[in-house]
Amino acid sequence: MQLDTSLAPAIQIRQASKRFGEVAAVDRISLDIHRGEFFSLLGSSGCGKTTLLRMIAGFEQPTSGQVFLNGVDVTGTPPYRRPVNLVFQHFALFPHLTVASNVAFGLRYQKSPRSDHARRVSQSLDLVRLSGLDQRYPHELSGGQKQRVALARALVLQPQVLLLDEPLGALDQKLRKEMQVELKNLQRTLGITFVFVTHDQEEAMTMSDRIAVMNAGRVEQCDRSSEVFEVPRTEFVADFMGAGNFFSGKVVSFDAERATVISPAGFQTQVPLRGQSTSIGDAVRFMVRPEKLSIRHEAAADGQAGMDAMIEQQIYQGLSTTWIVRNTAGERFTVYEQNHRPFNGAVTEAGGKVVLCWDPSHAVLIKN
Amino acid sequence: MFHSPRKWLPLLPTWLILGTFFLAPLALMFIISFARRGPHGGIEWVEHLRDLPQNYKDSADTLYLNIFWLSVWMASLTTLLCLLISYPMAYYIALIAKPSRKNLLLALVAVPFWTSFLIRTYAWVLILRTEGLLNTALLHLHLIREPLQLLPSHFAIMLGLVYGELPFMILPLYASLEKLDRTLLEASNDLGVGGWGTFWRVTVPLTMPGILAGIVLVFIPSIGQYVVTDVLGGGKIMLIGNVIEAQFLGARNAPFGASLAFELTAIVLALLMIYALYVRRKARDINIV
Ligand SMILES: Nc1ncnc2c1ncn2[C@@H]1O[C@H](COP(=O)(O)OP(=O)(O)O)[C@@H](O)[C@H]1O
Ligand SMILES: [Mg+2]
Repeated sequence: MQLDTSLAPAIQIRQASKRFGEVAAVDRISLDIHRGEFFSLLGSSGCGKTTLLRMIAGFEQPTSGQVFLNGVDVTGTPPYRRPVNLVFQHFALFPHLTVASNVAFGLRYQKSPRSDHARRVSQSLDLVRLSGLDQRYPHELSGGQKQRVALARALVLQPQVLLLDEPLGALDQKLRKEMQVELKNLQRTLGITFVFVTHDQEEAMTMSDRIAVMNAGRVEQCDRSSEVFEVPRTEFVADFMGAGNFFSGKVVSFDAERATVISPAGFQTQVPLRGQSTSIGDAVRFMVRPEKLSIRHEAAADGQAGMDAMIEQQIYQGLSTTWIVRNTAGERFTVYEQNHRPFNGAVTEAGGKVVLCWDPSHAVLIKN
Repeated sequence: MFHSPRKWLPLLPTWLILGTFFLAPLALMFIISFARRGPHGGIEWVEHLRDLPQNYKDSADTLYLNIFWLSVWMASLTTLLCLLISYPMAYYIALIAKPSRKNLLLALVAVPFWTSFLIRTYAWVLILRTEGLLNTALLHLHLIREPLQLLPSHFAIMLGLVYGELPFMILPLYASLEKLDRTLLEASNDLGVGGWGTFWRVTVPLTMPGILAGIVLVFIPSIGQYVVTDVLGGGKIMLIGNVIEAQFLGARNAPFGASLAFELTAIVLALLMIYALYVRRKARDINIV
């Protein structure tokens, strides 16, 4: 049987696990990462992102499972024979070599003619906008410049996949934002696959085509970034994406599209099923993102879901106002409201009775 | 620099110790090396200016030049062998061994220091002599029919020197390998460079300070030593240290001994200067020293 490798995904991970003694750093993960996409591994510290990335680079052998690059099984292949390059978290520049020598480091072992090297080095430095610093040593560079050298050093080898382990973690906020845009543009221009590790959901949203949200060595959800944001499948993902508004209830009826749910807090609403199955009497949880909730002082409008609640706190944040409200069962909810109009200084009294409203089609059923 | 006591006062003890125990004897030796042996072994000053360099002229004799050459050779070989043996050991302790085992391994490296160097060197006599442990073992295993004549020999001296100096090479190498950032080795691998390439292009340059420190610490004692040659060379093989010892104690010709000693010091100082220049250049280029 002939495998058509030209159409295989850039990276396939099949049931890969990595145990360190008792800890399963990566736990039976399967993923396909497509050619030319910007893919992010998102999760809090210690969830196994680095370990998974190092498995792709070849620095960790999976305890079980396989890794394929372009359809070829590379599970046992050493790092120096894989067509991927890793940008290390703390850059890992060679302190005894100049910027130019750092970038040229891997070229010596490539098949390209020697005469070509100088040109490729300067091209690569141009690409990351770092020309003119070739003769500096790493300790003479700023954090952002080191970052660019690390990128140039990897890109000069024209890898099919570039792996980046929290590459912006060491930079300050402003530089970080600039580099996010720059990295994204670089990836578009070059058309190569980027696998980007971060613990910052905003960063992942800004840059990625798709995101895999990880938790305790497992992938909780892997989807387009807007999907992960709008339609989180699990409570963990919803929480991680900053949407901690959970409602519980019981299914009283359902059709192919949606379930009708009655809540112990005393309201009835519909929740889209989005392909999930359910049955009458099921206890379910669903969530609504804070920016999709609104506060009204009268009953909910037609077609809207509404729940009686009480203001606990109002926080003015310039661009938006955050409201913390509490329902009769004592559960807390967060509401973001864009400040479309100038703030009139009115502060709503804590304890004021309101109705929390949302469009039922914005509710997302959470898997248990 | 002499104006403010705040600047020179803290350095005073260092200068005093250095002056009393290093510079003064050196100066004394330098002066004595221009005198000549008195009839009963004392020191006699020369009357004519043209006689001043007489000891240095005498030391240019092929006999001494050959011994100098042999000493440099033996010390260089000792240093090279120590480096070749120590690097893998230090590498193992610093980068491969489990962290919990490191201290034990380092302690084992230092264990020989608990016994006098002289006794440890004599132990080699027990091992190497005709009825020694080595010959007995080889005879019993029927690997040889006649006992090997290992004492005295250049081989035995080399063995004793390498054995004795090994810890002085392992410890500085370990110190710089321990500081080596492992992600740099991974970065090299990641850029397509395998084990050997990474070793030569990353590990060796970054541990150069340790390598040089080890070379200095082994080469200097090896070139001037006379104990190992006395014990394992059985008085039949002379290195420059033995010649100097013999001039001072045997021939009672302190001035000539001093001139030889001074020439030895000059060789060592010249090598140290090269070392210092190299380190300073490196330290300016990169901040790893
Ligand atoms: N070499 C190792 N030895 C032992 N445990 C490790 C090792 N590397 C990672 N771990 C453990 O595996 C888990 C995942 O680590 P890591 O992949 O670095 O997470 P992340 O990059 O998401 O912060 C952590 O609990 C960590 O302590
Ligand atoms: Mg990490």
